[in-house]
Amino acid sequence: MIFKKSDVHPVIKDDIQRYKKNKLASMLAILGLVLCCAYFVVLYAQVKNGNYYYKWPIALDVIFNLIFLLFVFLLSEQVKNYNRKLFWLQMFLGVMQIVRIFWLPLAGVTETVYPKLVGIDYPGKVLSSGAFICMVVFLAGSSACVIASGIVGFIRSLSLEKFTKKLASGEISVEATLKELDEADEKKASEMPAEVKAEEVTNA
Amino acid sequence: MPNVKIEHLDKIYDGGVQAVYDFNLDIEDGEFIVLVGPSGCGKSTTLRMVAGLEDISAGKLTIDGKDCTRLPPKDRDISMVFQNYALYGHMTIYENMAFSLTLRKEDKQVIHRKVMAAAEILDLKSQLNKKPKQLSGGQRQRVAMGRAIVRNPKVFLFDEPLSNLDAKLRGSMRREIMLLHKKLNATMMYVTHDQTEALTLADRIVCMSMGRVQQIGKPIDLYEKPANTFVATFIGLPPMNMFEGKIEKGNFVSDLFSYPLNDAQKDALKDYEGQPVIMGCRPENITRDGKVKLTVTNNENLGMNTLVHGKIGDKKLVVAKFAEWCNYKEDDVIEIGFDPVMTHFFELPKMTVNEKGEEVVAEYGKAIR
Repeated sequence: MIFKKSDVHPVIKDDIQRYKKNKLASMLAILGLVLCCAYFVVLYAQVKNGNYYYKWPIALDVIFNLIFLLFVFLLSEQVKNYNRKLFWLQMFLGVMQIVRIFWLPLAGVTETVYPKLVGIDYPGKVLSSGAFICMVVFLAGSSACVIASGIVGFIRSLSLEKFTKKLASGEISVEATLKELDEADEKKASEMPAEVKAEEVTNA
Repeated sequence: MPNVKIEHLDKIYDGGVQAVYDFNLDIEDGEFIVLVGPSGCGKSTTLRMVAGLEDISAGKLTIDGKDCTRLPPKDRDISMVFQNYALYGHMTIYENMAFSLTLRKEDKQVIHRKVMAAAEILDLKSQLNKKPKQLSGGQRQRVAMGRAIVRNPKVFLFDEPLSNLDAKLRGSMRREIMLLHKKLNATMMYVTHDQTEALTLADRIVCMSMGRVQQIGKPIDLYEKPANTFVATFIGLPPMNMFEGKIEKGNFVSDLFSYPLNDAQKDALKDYEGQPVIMGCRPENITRDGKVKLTVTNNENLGMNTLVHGKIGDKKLVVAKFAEWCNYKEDDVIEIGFDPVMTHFFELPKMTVNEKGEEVVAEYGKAIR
């Protein structure tokens, strides 16, 4: 049997999916999760005793973060196995990350506070623009990753489902395709001049 | 040109312990070679030297005309199957089989086709999505073989691949390895301490003991024409019965019995008149038409045949194998003889004293023919 590099045959491409996990979608979801962690590390660093963020909304943010981390981790496993049942939840969580930009981070740059506790008596913003930009980038990145993971997972699971149905109905056959490719390779090999063949074998 | 040529291979460990002495072997393309011997005889060390997992202390290894003595394992174009499977637990069977090709950055389609072809050969197609822990020992070993097959190596090396399996599974896997060899027609080196595996699988057997090759030959040659007392007793189950005695006037005379030599034996033993020799006879070559009295100690009825254990005189234990169901009782006395065509004679082994002061074999007794 002679195997050679070539463009991936569509049937083979789909067949590979049957034996490989959807790592791209899974890794995107995990990346979304990591970016969310980066966001709350920056946010919680701003929480100081008595300051603007030292109020009940931060508790809601903590709860949302916990829910987000838990569900996105579970979703990363779901998409890895081409399961698209929770696709809409994934989209919702992704969109929520965008919405969050307009809540605590935005409030931090619009609200003026008098941080007397640290001995400063002039008015100022809660968040520095640097911290704000970081939070926006992390949340937007997290949202993009989670949404992209959902879309990739959805598309691939759909294509795998179609392929499986075609296989079950006998419309396509992996065995026949493999045989066809083997025959094509053998034909090519037989047509190849002896010197080229010997060189290929040596290279292989 | 032989596919694998091993010349004067030695292995000496850092502490000065020599594990392999002057190993020489030419393996033809497509040949199935089995290295057999007891634990510690150097068979696995030899295989690991061929694989590149152990440095070669002296000698030369050539694979397909290329000097591989100092080449790293990855450049030798060999695949090894280990006793403990060495599968990655977190990967699926497909990923395990594809792993070496993925590392080589092979084309996805090529990888898939090779994995599917190997899975087809090994009947693993339905298991490709599973993890190794979900498979039985036999299936795991098949995966390990599949991982070797996909690489399409010049030589397959097997290091006691069936030792972890139960007896029944070992039998079926043995047949599968045999079929695999026929299908692939690949050069294979196989290490085992199980003589049944060696006799059934091998085109040629290399029998080793104490780091030295004792005999190389076809299974039937090792069985019927053992080169020395070690091969005679190691190959064959139950082992060959050995009797010490000497040659006197055309007879083999021991403390227990006297055995008249036939013309061929007399001719072979003409230089040993009055000298001590060892006579060997396999249990299945013991007949019931002789004059040697055997006192039965117990019977082992195996269905098609019976192993009769007994004593000649007071102490010499003998096993005879008769091709029928026998009902001897303890202390029954039967008269046995030895098939003259299948009786072997050996010189006495040369003994030496080791550093602990124990007497050990320096050289096994050579066959006299």
